[in-house]
Amino acid sequence: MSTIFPARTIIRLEDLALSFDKQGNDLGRPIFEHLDLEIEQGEFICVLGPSGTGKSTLLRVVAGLLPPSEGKVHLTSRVDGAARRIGFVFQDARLLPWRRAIDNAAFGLEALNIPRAERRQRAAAALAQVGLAGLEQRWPHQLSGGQRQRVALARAVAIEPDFLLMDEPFAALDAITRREMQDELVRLWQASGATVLFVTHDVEEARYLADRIVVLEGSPARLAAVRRVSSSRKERALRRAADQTLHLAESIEEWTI
Amino acid sequence: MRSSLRALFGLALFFLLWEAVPQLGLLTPILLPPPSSLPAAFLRELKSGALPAALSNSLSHYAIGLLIGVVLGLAVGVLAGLFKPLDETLSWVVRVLRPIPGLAWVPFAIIWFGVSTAGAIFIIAIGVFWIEFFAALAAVQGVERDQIELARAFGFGGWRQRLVKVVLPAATPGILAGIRTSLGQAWMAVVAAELFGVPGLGQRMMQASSLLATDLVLVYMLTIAAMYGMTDVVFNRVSKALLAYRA
Repeated sequence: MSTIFPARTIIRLEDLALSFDKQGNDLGRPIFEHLDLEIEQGEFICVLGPSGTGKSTLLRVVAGLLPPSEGKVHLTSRVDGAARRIGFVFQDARLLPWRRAIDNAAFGLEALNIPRAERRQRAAAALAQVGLAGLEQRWPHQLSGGQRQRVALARAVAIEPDFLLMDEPFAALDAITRREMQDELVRLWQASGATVLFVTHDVEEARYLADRIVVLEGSPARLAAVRRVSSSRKERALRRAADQTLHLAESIEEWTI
Repeated sequence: MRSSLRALFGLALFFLLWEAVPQLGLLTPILLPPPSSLPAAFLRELKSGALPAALSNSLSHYAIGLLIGVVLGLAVGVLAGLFKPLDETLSWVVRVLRPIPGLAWVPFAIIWFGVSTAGAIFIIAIGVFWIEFFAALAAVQGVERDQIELARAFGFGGWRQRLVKVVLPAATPGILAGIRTSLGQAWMAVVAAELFGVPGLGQRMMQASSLLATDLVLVYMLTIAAMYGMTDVVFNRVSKALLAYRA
């Protein structure tokens, strides 16, 4: 967790329940209920749970895209009085195909009434941050799956969000790209001070990324556990490097047989 | 390159077969004048000034009727696509009015506008309106909900912002396809619109036809075809440029 900012609650979920699906259709019974959770500024929270527990729906409620059936969501802006900024990253990159990479990255900035020249400059900087310098003028269909997801990440961080809400953003990527993106994300998060709410069904991913892991379970789903991940970021990186070396050694052995 | 060669070949074959039918005596030249007889007729009309005058009249009917029809059809279609209650309100009005051909409106065009340019424009616009209405409605209804959700997630709150940022760009391919169909439909409507005496290609064609000057009728038919061909080629270029983002 970032130490630059004093600890203060920035997201508070109060007895939250939802009985709508992502499209807003009434299901007649709650997907999740009685969710209470406080998240501190700058925390990296992973929401873990089997499918059907409403993880990504929860994210949409937090973002204000769906109204909760019961309870409340309190979001506090990092800067007092300023409008809260939410960067959303979806499972599919969800780039707009008629926009070049740089214009996709600038999408959120357009809602903030930022002048065009500054938008371009910030979007270009965000693309450079995710390692896409030089690809600004590409159309989405000219990018690989991993590159598209990087543009989506750039689009979210370009607005300097208070909250980064991520809905299984790396689930569709291959293992190597996924690991790269995870490291990229940790760097971006540490540099930005944003509070991250990251939905995943991958335990390894949650343990690698999170300060705290929130587990949803049951039907209707409830908060089954909240666990702090104790290992430092350095330890996690070392363990991952060791695992990969081991894995590589095993693969080579398999090949030589 | 190969595809345009094939297109040229197809066109040549078409004219060759056409030439062969009267030349082989299968039909008399008065029933089907051979294409080789048309340049002379074309030059006569050109020199008398009848063709240029008719063409410029028709072009102005065409352009204004097309513009009015497309703009109105687009506006109503987009709004109905955005607002379900409007779509539902219009659903049976549309079913009542849609099947009425442009030609059937001619009596009303005469009563309302007289034998005038406005009447001709009305007939053209009404035909184009429906094409663009349905194209825009379908295109807007087909916009992915995910893209709308994206716009909302990034703070585009109002429908006007979402219209400009997501709906219209996403619907552009469908809207352009509608306009392309309209380009052809509007030329067909030009003939209908001028049948009742408004000066233009259609009127001149009717005059020629009542005199059994079939070669002149064909000259005017081909003039319309050539105009359509040019507008379609130009529009296709513009379309391709606008949709350059597609693979």
